[in-house]
Amino acid sequence: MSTEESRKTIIRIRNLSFKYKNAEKNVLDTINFEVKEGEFVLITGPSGSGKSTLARILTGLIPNSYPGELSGEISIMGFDPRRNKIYEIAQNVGLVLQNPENQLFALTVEDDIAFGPENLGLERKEIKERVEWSLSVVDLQKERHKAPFELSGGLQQKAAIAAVLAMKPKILILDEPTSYLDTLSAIKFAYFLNELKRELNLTIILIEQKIDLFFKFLSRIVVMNEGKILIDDEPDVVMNFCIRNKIPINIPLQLLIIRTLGETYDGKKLYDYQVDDYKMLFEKIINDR
Amino acid sequence: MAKISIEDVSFSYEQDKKNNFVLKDVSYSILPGDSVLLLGPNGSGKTTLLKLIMGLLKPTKGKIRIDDVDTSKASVFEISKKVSMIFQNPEKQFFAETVREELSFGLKNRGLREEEIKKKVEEVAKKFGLFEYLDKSPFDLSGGEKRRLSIASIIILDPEVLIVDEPTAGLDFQYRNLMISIIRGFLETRNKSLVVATHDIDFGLRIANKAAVINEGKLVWSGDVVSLLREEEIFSKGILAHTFTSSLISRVISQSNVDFQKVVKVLEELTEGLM
Amino acid sequence: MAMNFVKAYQFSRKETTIHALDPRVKLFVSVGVAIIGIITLDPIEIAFLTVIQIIILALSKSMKLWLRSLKALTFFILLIAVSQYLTTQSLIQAIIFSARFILITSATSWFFYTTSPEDLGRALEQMGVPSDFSLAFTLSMRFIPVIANEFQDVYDAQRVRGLNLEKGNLLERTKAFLPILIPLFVEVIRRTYEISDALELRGYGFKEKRSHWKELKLTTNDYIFLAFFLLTIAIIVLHRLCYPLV
Repeated sequence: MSTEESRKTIIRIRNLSFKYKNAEKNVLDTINFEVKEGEFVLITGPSGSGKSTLARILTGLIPNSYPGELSGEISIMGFDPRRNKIYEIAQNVGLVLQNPENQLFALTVEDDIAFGPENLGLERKEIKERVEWSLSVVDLQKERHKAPFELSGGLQQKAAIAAVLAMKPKILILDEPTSYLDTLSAIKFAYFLNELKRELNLTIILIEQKIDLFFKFLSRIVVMNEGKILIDDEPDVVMNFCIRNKIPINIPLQLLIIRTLGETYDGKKLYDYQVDDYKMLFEKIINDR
Repeated sequence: MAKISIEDVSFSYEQDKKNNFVLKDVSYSILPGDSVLLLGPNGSGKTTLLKLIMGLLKPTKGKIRIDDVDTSKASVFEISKKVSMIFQNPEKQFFAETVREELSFGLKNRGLREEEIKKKVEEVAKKFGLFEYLDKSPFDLSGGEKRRLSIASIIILDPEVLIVDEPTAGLDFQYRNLMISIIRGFLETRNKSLVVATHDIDFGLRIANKAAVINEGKLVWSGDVVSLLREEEIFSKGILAHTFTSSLISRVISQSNVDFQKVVKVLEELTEGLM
Repeated sequence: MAMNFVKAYQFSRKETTIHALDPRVKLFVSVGVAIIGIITLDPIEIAFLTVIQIIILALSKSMKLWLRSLKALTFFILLIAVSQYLTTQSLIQAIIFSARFILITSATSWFFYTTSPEDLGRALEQMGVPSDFSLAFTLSMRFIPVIANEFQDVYDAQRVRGLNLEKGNLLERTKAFLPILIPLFVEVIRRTYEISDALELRGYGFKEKRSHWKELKLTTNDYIFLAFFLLTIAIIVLHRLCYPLV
């Protein structure tokens, strides 16, 4: 318990509202959001709920590249996107966008990883070290000389992550990274991301629809809709809330089964149940119909 | 309605000596009324197969016949009279000034009369909830409206066979359900067929009755959806991966003999308890 | 048809002396030969230089690529020959002009066969081209195959809706390109925004002078290659002095 409380708060957002220039409505409406060091936060919600906009604010893209009316208290590792430039914030907060293709600029993977450090004006020796480190962390050494378009979607994803990691951020934000991955790759990716977090001591903010794949790794789930945060709490609390209030997100089937039978459930035990246990429960539901 | 037969088809993009075959000796039939799931890992050749059926690519070896017409001897225009295809991220095809124009495009190319086109456009627009946007620019629509428009502009062609490539990739919960209802709406007409390439088995189970699995260019399994779920090897070899949902269904129908349709129905009630 | 031109200039990763030469030196020599090719009308010079290009092509194991590209460019070669013949009524002129075309394309193609786009980008940067421009250059190179794919995808999607590029008169056929060009344009613009976001997120703009983790350095082979080139020029100049063209 005390380790939880002694963790530093590195993102603090209060009363945040944002409207794109020339837009009619606010995309974000009085949001309160905090992240402590080392957390694994999942943000979910329907398209258009403001998730990607929040990611843009956390990295400074808003308002620097996307002007608009931004109000509220914002502190991201001490930075405020209204005061600081993107390239300042980018050394602390990394963002991996949904489509890896548009984030890989160079003609080989290793040159791409070097691109960020080159922009930072680092010494050649330091850049080389970071490139080697990034390649080994995501296990892409064999692909280092390949061109981005020669890689499969999953490997492009890894290359984009490696390139962002070379900036050595403390916070890593990923925007729907499993969108274009097949099921097996998505499952592997979830484990990969968790391992990465542990090895590098990262704080992760993950925007995702496939909650069930990441459920067991999460510290918190944030559900957004129409620019507001509906709930922000521990995963099991959030899931119960969403089931009760019929929120349109991808609730893991396990929870739906348990909930339907009226059993209260403790999120920690979710993955201790075997599929066969669920099978029994599910059959009970069928027979009750 | 159309029957498609794929006979010993192999395909290579390079027309020279390298002979790097993306598809090898694939044979399969799609009969009127079939709703086929084309499954397999990314890069296995699914999209290539769909393009071959559509006639956009011609087989390097073997033949594809659409009702006895050899696709390598027919133009895409010919084939598009019976077969239509919805690509991944279909919003990328927008070019028109208005939604109306976008919807009319396919029909205009077919030479239909103005009044006929107007009638069909308004009918389809109503069905897809786009009627009020007919004079808006397609680029001004929201994400969901764009997706509906792009699908409507293909459905308006009223194909006998509809081919869809990864319809749920990147879609959120609500749009997945929208996709399911659109596809079910299409299949309501008797003897229309559907081929869907997807790696989203949970989605596929709700709309298909047959399945074909492609791995590394070869057709490694085909049969009906229920049999696929009873299949152990394909899943244990890592060609396909089970989600919790699919593994649950698999166990229930294998070990307890519960009717598959009932299982799907209960599953939907469970998840739609949310809608 | 455009694809043939593109194919005539594709990089292929190999380990030959020519591949390993400094891209700046290769650029200098390749452009130098091409310029001479444009100026000269002397068949002996043309033949001499072409032989040298063939030697370079052979040394870089690119003969097959070059022959394939010649095949692809046959149409243009014949076009030049024919138009020259029609203008000058001289078969010799026709041959000379075609030979010049072959020389110029050969001189420029070995450069592209043996120089990776990233090395070319580095060469530009180190030669003092401002980083914005050389970045724009490498980005263009990097995204050419992507845009080519997009083009194909949009073309396919519209064909499915009945688009026919072969029907009708010239005006109709040109208009028929709009359903391909507009979506392509929109997509390219959209990508541009995403790419520029990604560039900023990677710290672009933080320092006026970016570092370079790989630096191009001239080696002995580069000097030897340059020396040979200068020797070639000397021979040509001598030839001109001794046998001036009328």
